[in-house]
Amino acid sequence: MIQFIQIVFFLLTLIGVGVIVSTKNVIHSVYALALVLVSLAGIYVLLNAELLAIVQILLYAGGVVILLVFGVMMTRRGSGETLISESKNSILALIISLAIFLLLVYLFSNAEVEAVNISSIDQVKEIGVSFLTDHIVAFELIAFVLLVALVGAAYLAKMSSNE
Amino acid sequence: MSELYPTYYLYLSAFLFGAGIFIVISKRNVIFVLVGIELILNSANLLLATFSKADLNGQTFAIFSIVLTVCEVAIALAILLNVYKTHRSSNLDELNELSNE
Repeated sequence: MIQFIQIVFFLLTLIGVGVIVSTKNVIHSVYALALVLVSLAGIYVLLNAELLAIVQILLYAGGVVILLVFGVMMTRRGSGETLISESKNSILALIISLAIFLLLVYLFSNAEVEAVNISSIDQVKEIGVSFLTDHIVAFELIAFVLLVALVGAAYLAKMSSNE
Repeated sequence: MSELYPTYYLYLSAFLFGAGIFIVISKRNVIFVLVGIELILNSANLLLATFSKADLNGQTFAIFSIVLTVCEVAIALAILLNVYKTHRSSNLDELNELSNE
């Protein structure tokens, strides 16, 4: 049963990536990205990383995808016109990405990964405690970075609408 | 209960990375390139989650990386709005000047 679920999520991810690669319509690629992100969240659950799956759905599928859809809507030339993207250097890109993919597959084929073992510890509590003890500097830094980035983004967007 | 080999997750991560590189190189629209960067970052997150077993450090790092991605997309779209205002285009090939004056 769990193998069936794994295959379903793998196939959904592959289909989403295939749609992103093959489509010319930008809004279709953003929706396919949402499919990829949600199925990756399912894969995280299978990998026993529940908190990461929740954060993935909240921030990626809820935040990033909405931002990208807004970006598509703001940069259309006229209303009702779909935003079409051309492709260039497709053969070069195919060669480079295929080379990187094969190199990574070759490297990963020697890797040893333990099978997933379902742990009984409270992950949310553990991660929350580690944020405030072991990773406190990174946690405070990233809070500051997020604040500065969002204020900067709001300022830049306001600058573009004022002039 | 038979599971897939854990290395398949690594192959999926490699596939996501390759597809992301392909999109970043070949597509000509800014938002498409952002989607490709998302795929690359997700492949890294998938690796972190795969190798995070006994301790939860991998998950913690992946959460940090997701937060940084959100910052990156917010800033990138704000910059894109400004660029679109001056150039009336989001095609990377047409954005070859710093200002339109």
